[in-house]
Amino acid sequence: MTPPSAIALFRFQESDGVLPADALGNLHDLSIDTGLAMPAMASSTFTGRGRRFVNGAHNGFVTTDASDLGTLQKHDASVQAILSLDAATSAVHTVYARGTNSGALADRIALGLQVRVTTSGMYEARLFHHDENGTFQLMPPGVFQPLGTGKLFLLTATRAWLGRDRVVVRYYVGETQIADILTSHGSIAGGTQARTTVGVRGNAGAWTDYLCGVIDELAVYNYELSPGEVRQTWRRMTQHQPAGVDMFVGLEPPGVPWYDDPGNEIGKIVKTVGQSVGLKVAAAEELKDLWLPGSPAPLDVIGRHEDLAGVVPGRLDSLDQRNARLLMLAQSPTDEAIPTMLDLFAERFGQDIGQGSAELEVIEIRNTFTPVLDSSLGATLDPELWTTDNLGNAGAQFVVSAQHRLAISSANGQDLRYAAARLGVHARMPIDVGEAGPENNSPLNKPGRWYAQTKIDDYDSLAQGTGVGMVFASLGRGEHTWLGIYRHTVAEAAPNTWDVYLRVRGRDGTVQETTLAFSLAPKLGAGVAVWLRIRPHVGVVFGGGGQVTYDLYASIEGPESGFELLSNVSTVQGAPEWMGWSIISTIAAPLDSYANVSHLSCFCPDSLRTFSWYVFRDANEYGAVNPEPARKLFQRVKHAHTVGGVCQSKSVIYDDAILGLYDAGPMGGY
Amino acid sequence: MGPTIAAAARGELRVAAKAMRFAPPADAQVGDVLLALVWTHAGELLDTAHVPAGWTAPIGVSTTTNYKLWVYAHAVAASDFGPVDFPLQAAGSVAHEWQGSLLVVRGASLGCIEQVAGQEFAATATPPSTGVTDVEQATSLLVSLTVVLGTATPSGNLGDNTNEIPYTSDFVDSFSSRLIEEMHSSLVSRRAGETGGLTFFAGSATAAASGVQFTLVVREGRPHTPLELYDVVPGNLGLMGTDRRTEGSAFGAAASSGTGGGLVGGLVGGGP
Repeated sequence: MTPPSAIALFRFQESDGVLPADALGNLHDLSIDTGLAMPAMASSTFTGRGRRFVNGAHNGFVTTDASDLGTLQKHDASVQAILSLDAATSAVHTVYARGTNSGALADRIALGLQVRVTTSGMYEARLFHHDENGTFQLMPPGVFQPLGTGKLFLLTATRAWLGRDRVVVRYYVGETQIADILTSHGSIAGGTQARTTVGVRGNAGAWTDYLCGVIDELAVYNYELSPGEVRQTWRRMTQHQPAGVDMFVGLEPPGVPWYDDPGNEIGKIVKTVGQSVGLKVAAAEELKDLWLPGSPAPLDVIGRHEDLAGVVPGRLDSLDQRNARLLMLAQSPTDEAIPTMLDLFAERFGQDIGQGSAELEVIEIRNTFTPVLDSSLGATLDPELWTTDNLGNAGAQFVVSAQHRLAISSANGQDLRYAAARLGVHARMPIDVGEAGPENNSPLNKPGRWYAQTKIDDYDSLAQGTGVGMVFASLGRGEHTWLGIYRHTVAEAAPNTWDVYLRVRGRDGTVQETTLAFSLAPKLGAGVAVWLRIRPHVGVVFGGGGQVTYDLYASIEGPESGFELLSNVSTVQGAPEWMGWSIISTIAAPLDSYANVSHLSCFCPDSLRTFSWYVFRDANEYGAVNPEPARKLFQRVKHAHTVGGVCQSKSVIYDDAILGLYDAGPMGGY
Repeated sequence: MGPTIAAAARGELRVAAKAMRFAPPADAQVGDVLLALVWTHAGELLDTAHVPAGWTAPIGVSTTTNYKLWVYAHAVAASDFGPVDFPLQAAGSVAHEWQGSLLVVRGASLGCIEQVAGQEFAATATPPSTGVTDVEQATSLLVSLTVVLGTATPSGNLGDNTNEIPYTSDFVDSFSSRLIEEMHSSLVSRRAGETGGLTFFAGSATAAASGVQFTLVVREGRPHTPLELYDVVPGNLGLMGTDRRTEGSAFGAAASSGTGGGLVGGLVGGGP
């Protein structure tokens, strides 16, 4: 048996005139055959380059095996592609096929993936193959909505062969599984003539079902990718690797042109190295997802890992508690009490984890955290400027300075508001509260099961028309909810006073801003700290279009008490993927306009995610910068992918401020 | 399991009031979705500006030359509800026959209903079912509606539950009315992957005049929209990081070395 592996990987990085190569070397370079035209290079796709297929131009690739490492897919298999489909389409888009069905029995199709357009305008991803009688078998589909021309997405199809009359096919778009179907089509034949097509399907000596769109990357596996692997691939590509590049962007002195010109050599190297750094964190996340019990994990899996880690559960411990404990232990590799777990890590990652690698240091994992941007920075460093506007507003400044203040300056008319683009949040971390919708009914997808809060003080120096607060965003969809303290302008209803303020941008692009009624708002000002809290409304039903209702609270007493329900806000925003701090401003704001933000905590008792901080700095947006403070700050929050904030709580279970059991620990300072 | 049709009730054409009225179905439960289907002559447009409270605007309006299908939906709540009327536009008049049916759909939600197709046909022995058989949805219920309007009376009614060949799905209703002119309608439901279609009475029946076949898809959940991969950092490593190759390739050997150095070196150095 061939070991589980990828058997083909086309990155399509080649220029026009150069045949696309299989990065694994198992297939010959992609070429064309009679009746086919070479797809042209598509520049600037998600991974750099791709190939554009036009059905009317008969674009499609054909190739043959180059190695004897076992490229046949008779049983378990997966096809994964980053692609876009044109709105003006052919009815059937072939992504990949093993076998060209030219007439020979050996050339029947053993595995293929296509996307069909239904009469209702939906897309159906379908695996297909020939059975032993030569009948073309089209598997039941996974249905998804069209994304639009030129919009790239991740499509994954897997096939698990259980027997001649039992095959399970699963489909995913992004990280979301859209179908999980048992079929009886276990008779699979063909593919042994070692011919493969991409973007087109062979049928009785002719070509048909041309793809119309762009394939950015294509990978084929000889095993069934698990849901965890698909999810990890998605998170690695969209979160961890880009954050690694951001790290390098932030450390570059101003004026370096590579980021504006991604094609130059320095840019390539930095991006590659940056993404590789992200790859490490992704690997740690993957370990947690794929090797350790998930949630909910069955008793036997948890028990097995407890044995491995040498942990004896308490008599009354629930499975959730035992699971959470295991995950904490797994992320504390320096703990000598669990050498077996260390060995487990060492086996997987060599010396990178467990030995304190300089590249990656996973400090500690808790489901509540307090970020460490401690005040000692201010003793040795000048204010360091971090610009994240990303709207092209040259001169806009965002400052992380002493006392972990967020400060801002902008010219008249500049808009520093949170941008839909990826660099829009000044300091942020990924969170996982579950994707809204019945298709991914994670334990976190439960109203009231998580909340987040932050402390804001020293906001009295905020310039009029500016605000500072916490933001929850689904960056890929351009949605966000911002809750913070805003200082009115003299032209507004309550001139020059402070209010709790809400800004919501839904997935339809509409933006709503409003002042929230807070009975203690008249007391806001110098010397009055505010704690803000956001929580999914208890009783709300997720799904049905992704509508979510949030309860918004504010308190001036402390992190545990005095919270007043300000409002219920309903938004079509899905479950947030990131949280962080952000400043908004629409008018000229002086550089000394700032506020202290701290104690951003996210309580997710069901979460299994690592809380990793990312802090971004775009040197190109600001003038002369001494890179040394940036590096020191960077060291202070650890590398961009490590856990910059640590909660020293005694337990996961009881660290709940709402229940009055908030144990801030030695780092808390409440 | 997917959605099912738990009950159906015929509408009442009120010619003078220029409206189709539906009485509340006794079998509806909280959580069900009510689908009000109204099929009219194409020249007689319903007043979409005056949808009954709590009902969606028409989800799909299937336009063909002679017929239109209007689909309204309502989520059953605890306090539901009295008779509802779907009126004609004020300036219009009911010059042709209308019919309607109220379906109680269980296991679906608002937003999960798609209008798929409407196809007209002339004299035939078997109503077309292209819109039905062309779609094999993963988790859906297909509701097929066939309408025959007779300038001459069809020589047979549409199929009933003894004349579905070879229909493996559920027969819903078949009925005729003649307040203005004769109209015959039949409703069936079919699960994804099943086959078959309506026919007329075996042997003798044909549709002497024109008819139309409508198809609706009712899904368990609204199909997911993929998240877009933004090209904000060109040169993402993409799928490369997922490689599990354990032997036999230069790239695989590099990727599994544990440090990632081989991966980086391979890329920067020109690729494996």
